[in-house]
Amino acid sequence: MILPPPTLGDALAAAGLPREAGAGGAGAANAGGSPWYVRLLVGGLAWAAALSVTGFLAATGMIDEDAFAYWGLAAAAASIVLARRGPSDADARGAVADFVAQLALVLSLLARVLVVIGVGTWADGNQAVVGGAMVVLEIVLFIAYPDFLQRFFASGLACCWLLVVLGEVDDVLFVAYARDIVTLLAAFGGAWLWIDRPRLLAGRLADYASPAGYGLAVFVVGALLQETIAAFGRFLPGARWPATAGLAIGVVLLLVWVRGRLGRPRVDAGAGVLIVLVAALAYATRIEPGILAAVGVLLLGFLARDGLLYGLGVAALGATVWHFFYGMHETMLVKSGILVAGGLVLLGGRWVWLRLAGDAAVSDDR
Amino acid sequence: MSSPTRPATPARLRRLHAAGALDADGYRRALAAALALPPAAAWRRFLDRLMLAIGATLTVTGIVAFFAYNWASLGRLGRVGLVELALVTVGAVALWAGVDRLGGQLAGMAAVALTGVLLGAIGQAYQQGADPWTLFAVTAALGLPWLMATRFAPLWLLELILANLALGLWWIIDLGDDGGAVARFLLALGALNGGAWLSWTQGAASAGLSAGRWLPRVVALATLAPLAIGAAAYVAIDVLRYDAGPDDLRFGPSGLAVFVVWVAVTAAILVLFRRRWPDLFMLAAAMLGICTVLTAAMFRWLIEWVQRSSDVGAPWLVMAAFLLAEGGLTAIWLRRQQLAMAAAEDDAP
Repeated sequence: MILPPPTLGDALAAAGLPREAGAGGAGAANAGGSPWYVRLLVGGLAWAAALSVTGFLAATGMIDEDAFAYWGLAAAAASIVLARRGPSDADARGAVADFVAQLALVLSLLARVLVVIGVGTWADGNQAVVGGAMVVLEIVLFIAYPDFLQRFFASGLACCWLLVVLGEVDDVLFVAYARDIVTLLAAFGGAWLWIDRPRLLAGRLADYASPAGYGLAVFVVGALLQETIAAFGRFLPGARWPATAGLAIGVVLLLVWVRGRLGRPRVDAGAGVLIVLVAALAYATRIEPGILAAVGVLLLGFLARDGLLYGLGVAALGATVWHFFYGMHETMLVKSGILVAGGLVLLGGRWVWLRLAGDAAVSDDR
Repeated sequence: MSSPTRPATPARLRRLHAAGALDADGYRRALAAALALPPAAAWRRFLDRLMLAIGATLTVTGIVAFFAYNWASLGRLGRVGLVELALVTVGAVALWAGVDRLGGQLAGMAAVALTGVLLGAIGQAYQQGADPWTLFAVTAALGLPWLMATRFAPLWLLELILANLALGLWWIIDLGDDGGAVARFLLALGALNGGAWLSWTQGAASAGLSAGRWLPRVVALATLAPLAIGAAAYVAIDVLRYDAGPDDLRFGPSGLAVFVVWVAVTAAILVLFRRRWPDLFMLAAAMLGICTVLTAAMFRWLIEWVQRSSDVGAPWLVMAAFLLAEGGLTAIWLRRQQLAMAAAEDDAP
């Protein structure tokens, strides 16, 4: 359902440049970096290798547990040096460079495991200390390690470690609200990265914006699958309704902003219907904020014409509806009422909106 | 394909800028044009479809939840009658909206889901001891007319999911859980999804079904996954068996069959999707299967090593080195294929 990006010729012409302006660099343009699925495959193997090295260290007792953190920092430093010496992952690089890049990735992942164990040993399992140390390590890796996959991991994991920090707080109510606030901050930060993408990609933050955008989106969707995250035992559930309310406000602001950019009145009858529908959806799904988060990801994927982000939104919507269906917060009867009412309000609202928008033809095509 | 007709992705524009083909100002303007906000008409169409899809999903899920609640105060006739009423309503909506339009297609998909709910409600009200797999199998069969009428790709995928569920539940009940039965189940799952994949690639377009690249890729993964898992288990349990493990874990001849089919499918993918229909995603999927089988074999061998010697550390290190080499070689090979495909595309008229 997303619009594909324009062709290179059309984009150049729209920018006031000759359609063939890019022909001189055609070879460079076509030899791009590895696509996301190759990066994920390589990243998965790197994680397995890093865990094997950890198994080796644990089995042999070669390193004292108190020294794990030092070795972890050394591994992080070595990975950064290796990564910075090689060509960027956006460039066409040779076999040796690809292999060194893989080695650096394994080292960086190993560094995380070692620092977690090492700092955990020092701090006697204090989650605030471990989480805080890992947030710092993720920030360092995000900034200093020039690799898309690394920055994707670092941005998402940094937010996860913030939730681990909250695990040390005794006040359950405070943790619930703080958890929602962390998630909302990540959601708004991620949304800004996608909305302001044309400017960010042309500036100094070009290398950071896209991986952080994906990382934060994955974190928000994952963090809002409440019991799934809580099942790991390190996270207490969030309050949920603040996250739903915040996400609803975010979706409304996004829609109003889009209308403004398209030269439409920011608020009129059509916009009013959309706002009421978002509010109704938020009320119906107040105990499952992931549904509105998925809607937000879908909107951003469409806005940015990004198929991968859009696919994440589709998967997130399916996962959160499934999660809500099987959640234990309400009886099936209550959930049934919520779902049917929410669905019918959306379908009815759509009918009204199409009439107010004055363009019923938009629903005619497939 | 010449360069101007390729999609203006940010990465491509950036590489042009780095190669000196675009100056800083040109790059900024081209980026703004490539990432421009979709026009108002596209937004209206998108929001319309989004509301329709989410509204339909929530409503149907809510109806399913209502009958899952199994409300005791609702009589048997009331339950079945309510689902029938809902089924007739969505069927009428599908016909009224038009089965070739999104609203009608979604209503058709809802009708298939409600058919399953109806069968479940009948089974709940008049219990006859039927196996659960029949619910999914009959629902899939009754959904075929809707699929033919709507020619809706997501409904095609739903039908395939129902068939997978039916097969899985049938296997749990009727086939037992010894190694040979597991191998036969994985083979059957691979055959089911492989057949669906083949039928999609050969006949979807002529049947009026379209879904871009994502759907055949998902089905290809669903084909490869059971075969690769079966092949990995066969290698780890049967081939590298040594003397350990009970006999009923062995996959036996069925395991060999899974392994041979996996090798054949992987080889076919590596040949066909390298040259005939260049697709790096399919090559990466095949490599994922190869890595899975090789890693399982290596893991099994290392376990044997640990069992036979007192050295508990070295096997972990060997495993790490193996995974590092495997990942590096996979990245290098896929990278080369990517560059070769891009070069071939450039040379094409």
